[in-house]
Amino acid sequence: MAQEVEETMKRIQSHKGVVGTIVVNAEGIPIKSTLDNTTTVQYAGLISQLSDKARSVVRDLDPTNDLTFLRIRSKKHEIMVAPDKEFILIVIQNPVD
Amino acid sequence: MRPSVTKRTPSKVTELSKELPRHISFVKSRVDVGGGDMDWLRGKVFLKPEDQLQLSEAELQEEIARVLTIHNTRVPDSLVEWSWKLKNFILLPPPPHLVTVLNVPGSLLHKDSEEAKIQLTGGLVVDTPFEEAIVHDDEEERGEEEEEEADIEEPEEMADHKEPEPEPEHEHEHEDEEEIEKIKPKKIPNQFNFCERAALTYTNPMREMSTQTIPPPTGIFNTHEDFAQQQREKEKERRLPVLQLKKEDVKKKAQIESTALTYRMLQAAKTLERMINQNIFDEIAQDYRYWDDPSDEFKVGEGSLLPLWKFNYEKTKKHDVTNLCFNSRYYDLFAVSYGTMSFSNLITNGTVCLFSLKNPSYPEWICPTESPVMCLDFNEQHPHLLVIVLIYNFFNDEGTMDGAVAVYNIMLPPTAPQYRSNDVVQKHGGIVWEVCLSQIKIFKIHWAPDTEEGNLAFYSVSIDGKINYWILSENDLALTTVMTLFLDRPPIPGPDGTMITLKGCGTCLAFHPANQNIFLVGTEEGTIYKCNTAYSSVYMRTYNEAHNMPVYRIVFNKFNSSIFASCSGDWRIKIWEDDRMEPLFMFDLGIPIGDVQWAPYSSTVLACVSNDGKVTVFDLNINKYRPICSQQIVSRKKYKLTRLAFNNKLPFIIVGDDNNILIFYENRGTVNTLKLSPNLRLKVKPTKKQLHLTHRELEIMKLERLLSFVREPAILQPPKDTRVET
Repeated sequence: MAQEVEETMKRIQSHKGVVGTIVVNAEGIPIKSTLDNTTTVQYAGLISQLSDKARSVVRDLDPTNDLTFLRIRSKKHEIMVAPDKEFILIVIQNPVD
Repeated sequence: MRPSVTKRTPSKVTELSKELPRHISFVKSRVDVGGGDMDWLRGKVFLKPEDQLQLSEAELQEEIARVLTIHNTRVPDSLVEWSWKLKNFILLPPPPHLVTVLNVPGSLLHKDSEEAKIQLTGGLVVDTPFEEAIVHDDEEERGEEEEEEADIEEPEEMADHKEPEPEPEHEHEHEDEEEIEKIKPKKIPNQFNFCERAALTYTNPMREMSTQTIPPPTGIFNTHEDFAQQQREKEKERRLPVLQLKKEDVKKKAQIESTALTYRMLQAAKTLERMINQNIFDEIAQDYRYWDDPSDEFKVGEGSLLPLWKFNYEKTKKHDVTNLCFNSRYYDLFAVSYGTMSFSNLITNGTVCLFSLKNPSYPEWICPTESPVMCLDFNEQHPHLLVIVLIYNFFNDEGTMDGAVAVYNIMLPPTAPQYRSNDVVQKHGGIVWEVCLSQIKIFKIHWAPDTEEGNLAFYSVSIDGKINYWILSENDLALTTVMTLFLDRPPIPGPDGTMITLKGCGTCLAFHPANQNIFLVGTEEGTIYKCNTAYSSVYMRTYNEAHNMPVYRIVFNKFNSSIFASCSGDWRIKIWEDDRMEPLFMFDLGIPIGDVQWAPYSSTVLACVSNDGKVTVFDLNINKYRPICSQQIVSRKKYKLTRLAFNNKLPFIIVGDDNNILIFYENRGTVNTLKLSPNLRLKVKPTKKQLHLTHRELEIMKLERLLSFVREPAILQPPKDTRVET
């Protein structure tokens, strides 16, 4: 199954407009990235904070609810975040090419 | 003789009469002894009467002689009595010198005595010689009487007195002996030698009843070892397994957690991929849902197809799409089988892919197979669980074509099929062309034994003319050949002179939607047979020369089950009504037609794919002679279209392509998605009167109305000539 995850991540990277993928562990440390170091660290730190905040927002609004995915649409990119309690998957895509 | 003598003042002469006082003193001494016993508790105190005689040592030493006399010292002498008559004391005679020492009343009874007679009246045994020895029950009573009678007199005297009296009676008894015996009075038991019958019971033989019990836990106690050491060892033993278990548990837990983590990660990655695809194909996704060709309003009786996504998989670009099938539960999910249509192709493997519209770039589920896949079908009742895949081994060891069946569960990873027909017996002798899923319904109605109940089953038709019925039991596939297709021609002589009945080569199969027993089989020869699973040897109906080329597909109308369409390599689509030998409609497209399908939303719409890469859509309600849409989908030179499937929920179709026979184009095996324009999916508009009818009823009515125009009466009857007299 781990192999399947690897393959899927590779495929994601190969898709049109995908700028980069980052995998962040539970401590907020990037363990896998296709971007350069500084950008990766910046993304990992900020996105993990944001996803924590977003989760707390969702949980505060409804304690039985939980955050599953997060999409941030910006002028330049779309940042797609899959937050889990063990890891965070981040994909940055340039949707209009 | 002193009347009272105590121990402390012993009398010089002792008599028998002294016994009583002595006894009293004895009791006293015993009391003393009792006090003596208690010496250890308190000081010894002698109780002495105050007037006790004090004796000197010499007096105490004095010897007192004891003499026996014949005189009773206790008898008073010279007793006197006052006589009132004489007014004087008179002397009484002295009392007798008799002392009763012991009085034991006897238990013997003379047989002539009164009591003996009373006892004997109950009749006893006169002939016993020892009558004197008879023991009497009422000893005590008699004893009391005797005591009363003879206080002083001796009992012997009384006996002497009574002796002569019973003598004559004894004689009488002898006379009455026989009478008494006749009466048979109660027998007096011998007290010393008799046993009571009532007390006797059977003595049951001893039996040994024992049960085997679990022996209590035992241990070998070794006295040589130190107890503490033993304890230590025991503790060690206890600790070890616990630790091992813990380690295993931890390992298992970690494994489960890690697999759960990777699973979550995979899900997240898949969702992200879908998001990315949504971004990439954003425009297509919008079109797929919301765009309708506005020009349709101005085109009457004409429609168009809007191409949407193209599905392909890198590893199947050299394969042909052999079959397409939508899932009945998830409308966006469909299965594609990859194999080859041209049998000269040397492709030796195949693939089954499940695609979702949500991810057009990559299949959701990929199952590589060792041989090309010919066709597949989802089960309607268990759409999420089972997909039936038919594989034919293209070139097996003998160099002939072979068919095999496999069943996959798409819930599980596509490593191995759940069922697979591998036995030589089960193999189809030819290519399996079409598979049709069905569930055993007959048994369910009759509540047959559990073994048959609820088992999944399906039919298959193959080019060797066999229609097989497969049942999925728990572990294997069970096969029954329902029927073998034979041609109606007479047998022809074989090379060695034997007569051979020609077999029909089945190419397609369609089950009646309402009656699961009835099915239609199309053959390589162009004949369509209507068969029944209950009758394996006869055809219900034969549509001879329905087509001139192999029949590729037969489909029943979704609204009227007596209407079915067939397409063939002879360029024609024919629409038939059950039990009518001539087709109702016939369309000639001028090119072999690979597939035809009825639309699920309309009773009069059908679509077909042809070898020139066109999709043609007919709406019989709008145009009975021409298609309302005929659109080139793929390049005519490079590809041909093979299969087509309508989506059940949304107005789009998927078509599978194949390379053109002459050119081997590498990039093929693509599934195209096409959206139907509004004119191709016209629905019946109910009139004011029909507002209460459902869509289905309206569609059925529409088709009926249409058919009534087309149908010809079975026999044309010219109107009779009538002469009109003028």
